[in-house]
Amino acid sequence: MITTICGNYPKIDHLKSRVNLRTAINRLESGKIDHEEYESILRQTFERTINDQLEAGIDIITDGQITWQDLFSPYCEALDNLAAGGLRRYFDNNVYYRRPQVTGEIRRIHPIVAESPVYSEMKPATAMTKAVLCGPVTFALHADDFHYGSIDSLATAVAEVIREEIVELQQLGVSYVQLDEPGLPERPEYVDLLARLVPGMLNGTDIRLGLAFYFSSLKTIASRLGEFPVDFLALDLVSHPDDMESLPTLDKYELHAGLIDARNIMLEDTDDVASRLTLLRQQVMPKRIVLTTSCGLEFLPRDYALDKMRHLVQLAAEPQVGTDEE
Amino acid sequence: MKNNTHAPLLTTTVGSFPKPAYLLKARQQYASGTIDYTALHELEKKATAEVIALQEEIGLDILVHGEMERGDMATYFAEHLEGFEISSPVRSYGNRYYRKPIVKGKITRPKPITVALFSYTQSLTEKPVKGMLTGPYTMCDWSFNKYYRNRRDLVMALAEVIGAEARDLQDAGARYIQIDEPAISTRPAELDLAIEAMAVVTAGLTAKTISHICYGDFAPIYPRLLDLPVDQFDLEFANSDFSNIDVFSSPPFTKEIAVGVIDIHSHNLETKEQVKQRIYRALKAFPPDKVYIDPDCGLKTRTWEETRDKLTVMMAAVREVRRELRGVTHEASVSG
Repeated sequence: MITTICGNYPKIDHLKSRVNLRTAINRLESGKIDHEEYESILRQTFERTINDQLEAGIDIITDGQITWQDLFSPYCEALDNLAAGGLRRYFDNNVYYRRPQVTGEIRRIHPIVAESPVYSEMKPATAMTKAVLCGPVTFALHADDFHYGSIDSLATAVAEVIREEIVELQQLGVSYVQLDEPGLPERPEYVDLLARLVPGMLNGTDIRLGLAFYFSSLKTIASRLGEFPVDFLALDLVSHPDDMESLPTLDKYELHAGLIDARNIMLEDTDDVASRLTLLRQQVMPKRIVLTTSCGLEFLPRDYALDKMRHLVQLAAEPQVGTDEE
Repeated sequence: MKNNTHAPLLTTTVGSFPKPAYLLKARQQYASGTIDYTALHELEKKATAEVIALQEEIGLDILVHGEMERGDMATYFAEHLEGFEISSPVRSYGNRYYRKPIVKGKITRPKPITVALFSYTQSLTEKPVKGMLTGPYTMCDWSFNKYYRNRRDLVMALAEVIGAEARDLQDAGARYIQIDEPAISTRPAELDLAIEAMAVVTAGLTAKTISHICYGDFAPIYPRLLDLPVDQFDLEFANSDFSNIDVFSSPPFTKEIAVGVIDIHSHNLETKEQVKQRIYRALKAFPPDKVYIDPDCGLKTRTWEETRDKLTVMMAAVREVRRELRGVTHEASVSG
């Protein structure tokens, strides 16, 4: 069974002797280091993030979202007429995001995530890559919109910049693009909108596009999960364990099964993961299962995140969890 | 608006103040073992005295000790309770991190945690100083749990030790005890648990009790939130441009409320007129005789100069509003 992680990864190290991006940012802001030195530390952080995944044995790696402030910040930095506003709690976490402020027509003035070195000069030969972006509906639901006037219009505008980004990501040879939509289960009335926006975002490219749902219970959208014209779904199957029972047959998708709890330091029991995978095969019958984390690993300290990732790979290799051939 | 003359608009702050450079350096030296705790603690007391002097100079009514001895509001208590270990850093937002506590055993309180520094601080001023605690629900929500069977067991165990600390603060003379619960809006389904735990913490207290909550969505937990057994809520409003204030209009808010009128996450200095408008907005939304004025949240992310400037503007705005209310000369602003 192949493996991936959902998205983000701890930016700073648990070892005090190592280079620390947090300190570098503070020192850059206070003028104690120049941009060149900061870039060097950022580059080392990317390298360590890639190496951690490769050494753990992850098959589809991400860039760890090392430069992100939150799920929305890459858009705020890359799009015109968009800025980061006041702080808000990020779903049910002790984490906060800055609410995007939309003040005019949003335009992509430079790449959102495609400039990450993980997709170019640091791209590993031995693993596939996955780019992650906030999905258009979740973005629209979490922004203060002073221009478009409706969730529909704003999400459509965001989908257009995602389309441009996907073209660039495909040119770079990225294997997977995952659109995170943690806001959709809370607002299931926008399932139609998201389903309608997907073909436009793909626009003929053959990149493997998927949707990720995490944090909130899937029950609100479970019966409609089969309506999205995407290649894979990434589902958080630990935050609400009984969600599994509500999942329908999803045999047109590759299922990225989030059975590894990325918000808890306890390591999962092999038999428990194996029995849940068996249930997924019998009930959901996906084309293939990819074992993954329930959400990004940045909720954990780096030492625990590394343990989780190693454990994930070990579980995927256990005979009792079974195999999935594409 | 009614009862303008009964709107004393007492002023306070939420808890933390920025640490001076000498204390930041001393904390690093202590962490690396180059100075001992006695040396560090002397500097914590020195900085605390400076925090008190600043608040008195500005003219605040209810003071705080500034939390010079604390890194993070959850981690500090975990470091002083039995049963916890402390992890390496986890990000909370932007470039801010905290060392997340890990519950690895039965939680007990070997000795009072905050009382000695509270007593020292209160000895420096005639004005009341708040006793500052972190609530049991937030302590649970911001920790990893490897010991207790479930979140409820952990929250209630924490309530026992935090309640004991609250009673010790009261015995030491605290007239105001603040038990912060910023995580309380995180999971509306667990609000009842947070209320039950707070009842354990505040049982038998005669001091005025306060709970600070910030950066959450209040709509799903209001009005049930009013059942949290404290006398006063301290809420953030400025950072969200008061977009969250309408939630509290129906049913009417029944407790005292400290209204955040200063955005502590912005370097920008508010103008006196801006702050006055925010105060009048609060007076329109809440019973005026129950309104206190303060910043949105702890001030530790600002510089000392920003803190002084922001609090000075806040106090100037409060004084002017108090004068206007006594003369009831600002009816246009109130109704506008």
